[in-house]
Amino acid sequence: MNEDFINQEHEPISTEDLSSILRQLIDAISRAQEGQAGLEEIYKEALYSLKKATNVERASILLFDPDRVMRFKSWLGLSETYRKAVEGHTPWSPEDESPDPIVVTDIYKDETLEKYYPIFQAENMSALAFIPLLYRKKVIGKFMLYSRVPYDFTADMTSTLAIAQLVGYAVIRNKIEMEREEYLRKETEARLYAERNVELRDEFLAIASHELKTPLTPLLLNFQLVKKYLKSMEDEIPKARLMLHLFSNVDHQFDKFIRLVDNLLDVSRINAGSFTVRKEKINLSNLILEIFQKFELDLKKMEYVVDKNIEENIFINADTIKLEQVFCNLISNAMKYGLGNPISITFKKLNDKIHFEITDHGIGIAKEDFAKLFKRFERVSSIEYYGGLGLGLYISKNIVEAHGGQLTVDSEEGKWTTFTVEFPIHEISFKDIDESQIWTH
Amino acid sequence: MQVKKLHFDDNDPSFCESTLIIEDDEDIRESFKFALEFEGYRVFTACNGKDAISVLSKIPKPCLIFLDLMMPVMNGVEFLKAIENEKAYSSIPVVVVSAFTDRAKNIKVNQIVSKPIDLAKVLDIAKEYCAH
Repeated sequence: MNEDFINQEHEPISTEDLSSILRQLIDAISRAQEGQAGLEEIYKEALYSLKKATNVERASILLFDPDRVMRFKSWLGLSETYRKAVEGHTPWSPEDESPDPIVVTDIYKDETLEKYYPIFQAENMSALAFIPLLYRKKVIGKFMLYSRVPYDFTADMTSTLAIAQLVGYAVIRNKIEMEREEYLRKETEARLYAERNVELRDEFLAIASHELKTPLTPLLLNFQLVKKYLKSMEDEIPKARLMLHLFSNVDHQFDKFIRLVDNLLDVSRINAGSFTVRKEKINLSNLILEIFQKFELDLKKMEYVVDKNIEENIFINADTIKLEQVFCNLISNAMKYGLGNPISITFKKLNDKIHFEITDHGIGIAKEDFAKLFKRFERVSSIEYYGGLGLGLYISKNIVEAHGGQLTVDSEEGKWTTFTVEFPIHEISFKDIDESQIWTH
Repeated sequence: MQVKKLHFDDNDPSFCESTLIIEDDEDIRESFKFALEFEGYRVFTACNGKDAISVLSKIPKPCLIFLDLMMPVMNGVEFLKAIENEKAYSSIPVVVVSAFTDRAKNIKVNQIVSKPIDLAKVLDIAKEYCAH
């Protein structure tokens, strides 16, 4: 190498000095990882490290942007005109694997660079080095070293490559970190969005059930009044009896409608944590019999044979209306899915439990669907064949649990299904009325 | 059908068969009024709490108030607060009739009835409070 080519007096750097320079760079990278410094500072630190380790006066860092164009990220001693003129120029593509550094000792002897001569002249450059920045062997960017006079950078390569490796690592670390933050931000956003939607849905349920009840109130009231009138004159006007008969299933439909609306309201109450049960001492045996009687006509119509075995006078401290809801739900489910096959109902004291079970021999439920059954708005049966809001069992389970009990299912698909309700006997106390118990779900 | 004999003598101190329905929905108000009148009660109506205070000042003291909760201008809870310190009115039994019975949990009323109204139930209540 001709002495004249060297731009400065340059002794190869000692190992100790290089270690110290690298340590400083590593410090900057660590600070960036802890969020105390940005990539900009790492670039600057890297360029100063280069300058110290190699005595190169001018250098730059360029990275591939997502659009695959190599762009300046940081530089020392370069004019804007020069940067604009050469930006985008790269000997490598992002797909190139572990390319070697390129050293141009004398620009003006390299004809491939001829078109850039005027730019190099204006910037007073005579030698160049391209050092690839790699991550997993792929090119992510480059270091550029520049010299005013012809110069062979090969002697500086050890230090430069060490610095390049650190910078490559820092850039990727930063990118991963940014992507992680972006992912977390998006995830939080999606979660908040989902939560807000659930909130809106619950709010909607509460409002919708209220709004549905408003027209239902005068409708039902007038209907009841008309029935009362008709009943008062059924002995005198024969058609009154016929009309009363016609109205008999309207009652039934009103009940169904009110139950649906109440279900919506219950769900919004459960979600809002404002669901309450009012316990009093009740004869659960009688309640179950009464509920069964309500269904008797429908069961007959659907040709169900029911084997019922109900132990008398079992008392419990419970909310009558709410438990009625549970047993109505279980019986109507058995009718809905029972395919007209025999149904059995058992109610008795069993060990230390009050035990109710209802078994139908209908479509059955697959074992993997058991958990899904009790979730709100979930339905196991096909919407193509069976209607309903998918709320009954969710509400029932919540009601039973609010009484300290358990609602469970067992089934064999295509054969039978048994729902079991159990209340611990110690739950029965003979206090007349328990305070309304606020139950937060 | 046997319709009860109506007592409309405001000067009769034993008279205690008038009720006041405070309800903003006109259809509900009218049906409800009709149902009670059919049973022989004298029924006054108001479309919100503020209206009710004005009605109360012009009518004989009712034996029972049926009160809706969600109403414009002055809602049920505000109405109860407004009459709380009015000796003449605070002693009148109040039955809340609402689709949102949860809201009545923390207020002091004699009874809570959920909408849609069960006619038999409200007639039982009227009988209980308006017995004379």
